[in-house]
Amino acid sequence: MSAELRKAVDSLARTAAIVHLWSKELEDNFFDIWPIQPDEVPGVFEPFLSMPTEKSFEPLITEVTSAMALVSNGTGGAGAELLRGFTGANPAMGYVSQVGHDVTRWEGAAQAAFDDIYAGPFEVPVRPNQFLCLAVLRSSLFAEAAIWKEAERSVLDLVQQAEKALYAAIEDDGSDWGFALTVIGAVAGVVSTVLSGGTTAPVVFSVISAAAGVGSAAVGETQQAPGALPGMVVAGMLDGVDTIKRAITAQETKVRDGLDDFLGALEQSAPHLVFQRSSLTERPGVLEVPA
Amino acid sequence: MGWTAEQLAMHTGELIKDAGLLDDAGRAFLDAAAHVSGISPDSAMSREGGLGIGDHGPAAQFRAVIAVLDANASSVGQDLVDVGFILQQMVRDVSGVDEAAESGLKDIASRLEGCHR
Repeated sequence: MSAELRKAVDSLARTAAIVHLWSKELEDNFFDIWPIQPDEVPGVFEPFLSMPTEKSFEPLITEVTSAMALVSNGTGGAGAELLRGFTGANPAMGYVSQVGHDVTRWEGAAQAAFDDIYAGPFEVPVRPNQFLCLAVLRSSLFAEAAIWKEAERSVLDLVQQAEKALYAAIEDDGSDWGFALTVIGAVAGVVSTVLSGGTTAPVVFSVISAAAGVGSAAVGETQQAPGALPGMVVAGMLDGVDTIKRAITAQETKVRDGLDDFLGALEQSAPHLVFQRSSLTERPGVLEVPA
Repeated sequence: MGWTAEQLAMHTGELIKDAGLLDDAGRAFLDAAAHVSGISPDSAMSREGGLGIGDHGPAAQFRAVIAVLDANASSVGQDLVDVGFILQQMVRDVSGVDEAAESGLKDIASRLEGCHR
């Protein structure tokens, strides 16, 4: 978790303590409507301080991108959404067809087997499917990274707005109480790119973008006394935390479900992902000079 | 119409040399498998406090996908390496090989041993 969020949470906790004290002093008969005490504020955000970060996925994405480059022939084979700027190519991917061309000048069972079992299927579907599968894995890692990137941004936004709203609550003269609640109601959404199922020959996976709207804390006309306003801000902050948690769970569920669908597609497409081992490897057969 | 001795020598040398390229193609898949199998999603996805789905999110699904991709890429890579070697053996059996091609075969055999370890 970023040091920025830690610092923001600490600052919010200090502000909450000051505002809570102010609220008590403002009214002789202070009725504490704060849903939590100021010293409990850091605990509310504690789970977010140890959540995954976008950066933690970078090494994984780098490894999968390297694998893609090794089996890419540079002519695409996956949609732009899956490639995400990938442009690698390995000349060795052209060697199989080159050997296939050489072999066609010979005769015999081995020549036919090489063409039918290796050279042909390598071009379609084996190599393209291997590349596509790696692209899907990489895309799903991007999706997971995006969830946590947006979660971090949303939480930081919430913390900063909560502090701003608390200040507004004590600085306001009572003529525009709605401002503080409006600020805390503008919680950022958690947006993520997630995998979607769907297969066609040989194996095609699409990626969709989905935005999860995040609700706002209840905002409306209020006739509460000024001293009650900070407590309402804190209640709105807690609502925002719950909303972000729900959004994270919803988005991560989509990634999990997408991966489950992908695993199912892999199982169904198994014959199209590898060579169907032939007598060429198990029994060398013959390769004959043309008579 | 059959090949002349000169044509046979040319095609034999060409095929032995190019069949060796299958080793490079196969090794690319084996390397790709190594890249994929080397990643561990659990640590990247671990979290506390009940955020998301479980303590490690969809790490189990990622592991399952990685295992399948590793197995498939390894299978393709090993098959290409093996078939390249076998093709070279076939050509040698049919026509014999010159000194340079023999050296190439030994090189491929050496690399195969490393691959199978």
